[in-house]
Amino acid sequence: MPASQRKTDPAPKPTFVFKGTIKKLKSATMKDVPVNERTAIVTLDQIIEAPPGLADYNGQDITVQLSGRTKASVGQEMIFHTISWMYGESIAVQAISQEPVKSSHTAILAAAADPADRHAQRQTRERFNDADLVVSGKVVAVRLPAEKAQGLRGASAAASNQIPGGPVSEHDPKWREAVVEVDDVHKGAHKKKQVVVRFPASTDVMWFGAPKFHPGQQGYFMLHKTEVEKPKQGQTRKPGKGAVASAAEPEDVTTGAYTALDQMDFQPYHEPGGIKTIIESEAMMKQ
Amino acid sequence: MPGKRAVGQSRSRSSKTAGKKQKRGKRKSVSKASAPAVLVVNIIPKSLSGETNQDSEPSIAVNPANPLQIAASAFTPDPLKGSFAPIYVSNDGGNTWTLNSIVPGNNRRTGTGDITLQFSKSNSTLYAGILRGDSRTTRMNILRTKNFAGATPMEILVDRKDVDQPYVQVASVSSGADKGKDRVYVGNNDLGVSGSSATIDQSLNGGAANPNFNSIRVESRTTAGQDGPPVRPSIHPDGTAYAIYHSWRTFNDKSGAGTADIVVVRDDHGGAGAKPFTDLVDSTDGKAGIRVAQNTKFNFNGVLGQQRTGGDVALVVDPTNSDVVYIAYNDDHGSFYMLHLLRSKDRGQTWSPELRTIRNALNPALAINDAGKVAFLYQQLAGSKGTQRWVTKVELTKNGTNWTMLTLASVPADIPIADFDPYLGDYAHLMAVGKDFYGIFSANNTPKKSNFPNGIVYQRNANWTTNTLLGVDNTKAVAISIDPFFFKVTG
Repeated sequence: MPASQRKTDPAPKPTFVFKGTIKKLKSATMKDVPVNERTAIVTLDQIIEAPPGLADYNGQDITVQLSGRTKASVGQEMIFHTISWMYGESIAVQAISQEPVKSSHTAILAAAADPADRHAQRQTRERFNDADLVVSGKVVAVRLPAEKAQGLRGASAAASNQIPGGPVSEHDPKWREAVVEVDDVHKGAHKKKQVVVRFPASTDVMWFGAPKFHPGQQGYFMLHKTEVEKPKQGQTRKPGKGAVASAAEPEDVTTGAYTALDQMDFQPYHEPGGIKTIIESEAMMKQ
Repeated sequence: MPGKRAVGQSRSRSSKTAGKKQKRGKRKSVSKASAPAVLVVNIIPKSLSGETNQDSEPSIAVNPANPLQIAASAFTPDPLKGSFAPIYVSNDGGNTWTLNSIVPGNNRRTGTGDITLQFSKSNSTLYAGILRGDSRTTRMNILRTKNFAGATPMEILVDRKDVDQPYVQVASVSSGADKGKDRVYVGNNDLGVSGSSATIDQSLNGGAANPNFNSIRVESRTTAGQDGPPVRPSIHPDGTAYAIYHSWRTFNDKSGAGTADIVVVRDDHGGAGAKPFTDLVDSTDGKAGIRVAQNTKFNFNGVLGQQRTGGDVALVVDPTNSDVVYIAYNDDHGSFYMLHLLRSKDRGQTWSPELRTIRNALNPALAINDAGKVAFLYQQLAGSKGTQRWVTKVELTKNGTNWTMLTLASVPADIPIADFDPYLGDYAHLMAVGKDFYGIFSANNTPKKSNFPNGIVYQRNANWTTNTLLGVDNTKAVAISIDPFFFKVTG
């Protein structure tokens, strides 16, 4: 196995959590699933957490590749923590873990939370935990980053010239800066009245879902200190072997810019749940 | 015939002469015969009937050793929003499809940032070139798996930043000391280098435990700072390797307008020599790479309908004769985004007049079967504003003169509203195995029989009377979106 891979990929987290009853062992609901000792047909009794597209599977039979060596038997009710595997006529998932239903599960099973809402709330919580700064406030201006504005002053390139704004790709983020007037700081330290947030104005697939700010927007901002690349004018790299991306960033990277790159990173004041709920629960815990 | 130089005058074209060639192109005979058997399948699985993703920019790989095994890809995210993006898998020749999440770096909303696939011709290994969906830069991974239908994630062979549009092709050495080895070619635009960005990452033994990949800079001329995104290799079994790329001559960063040469390079020994991809020399400037067309216009900010434009290219070498190669490319002609098709019979040295010239068509893809029959896939915006449709066509010819046209899909162009660019994809894909052609395109998924004149099969739930998509419960209405469509044309 080449040295470059998998070390950089974090261990997968379960995103489909449900209570199910084992219906049949060494069997599957889809012909394409390779069946072994740990393959089981499971009836979905109650979905606890799932992305929206898969929150409607209650009552259906699916295939689960059981984890570890824990014994499982037909008729047994278990809580399954699973990740993706295969989707066809039915679905097949891989269990990261599964455990028999216990009294400690009563609360989560009794809660009437929507599985998709629970999924979204967990993702927002993870995003909040990762954020360097969480503020509420108002976008008062949107502008080009200084280096980009400078690059665009000379706009044409003919043969032998560099492209003024740096290399051109359809995946170019088209960085913009939103100047946010801060009403309150909910996480992290920020003493100034304003904070500058970089965001991609690009509509390219790589930036789908990232907030596109405009003046007047008000709400909560979850900000991450992110490395934002400067245009690489005149940069040359030796051709050679397929290099492995280094953990260390190249020299042409600006560090320390606050960015909002995920749909979850901005939430208008009027929207319920999400960041607002987390901020409220954090405040209650502090009290 | 490796090493052969055809006698003949290089016919590099200028954009000035292109208009005359178009007229000639229009005179070609095109009929709407329905002789070949056609299968078109919407490959979204039934269990994901509720999805509304923009599953654009598809690619396909058919296992030459077992054409029942087919892998496909698109901007499809993992349904459970996990760590691995999916590929589509068919084990029955494309009749039915499943989704298998084995590609590292899933983005919750789009899967990858680019992805293409190709099987080894000798050992069923599936290779992929991707831009990771979880990266904030254009981070290319070259991947492989020996079991594309299994649960084990694909293995990462190369991991490099600042690379765009990885496009993978695989050849298997058929004789000599290297017999059976996989030669892996990944065309890409390496923005980490200054100027000569058109690149092929190449391994002469992709199946090795730790394969070595070399980045070959195929651009030999001074550019406008870089080349365009598409670099498309095509490999003949005798070892002849061609590639086409969009060689930028000028570029205006503010308007997105530029000019580019359409350049074809060749290597007669599969890129194994000291100066790879330099066997085709343009006699007018003595540099490697024939400029098939010069100073073609493009606009990197251009659009056709909701699909962005910017200069597409495609190339295929005839598997029955490595002297014969077809190319397609796009350029701007006034308000038209023009698609051109040309052929060389002398290893790329000289080029035919235009065999086909098509207005407002893009995403060209080419394939030639083992009988020398050519298939030409493209997507054309037809009709007037408000009633425009994306029409996906494949044209077939045995001689480049008489064409049989098949319409695979004709769907509304204004529905759905694009979530992101690209709307349909910056490419579609086509390949041949034996006598059959296999392809994939993305389009509006309205379940309406008349949208698919050569027939259609849906796996996902739909009501064909009310032309409505239905959810997993087969009841709830689901919004129209962009889906990938597999097709097979029996040659």
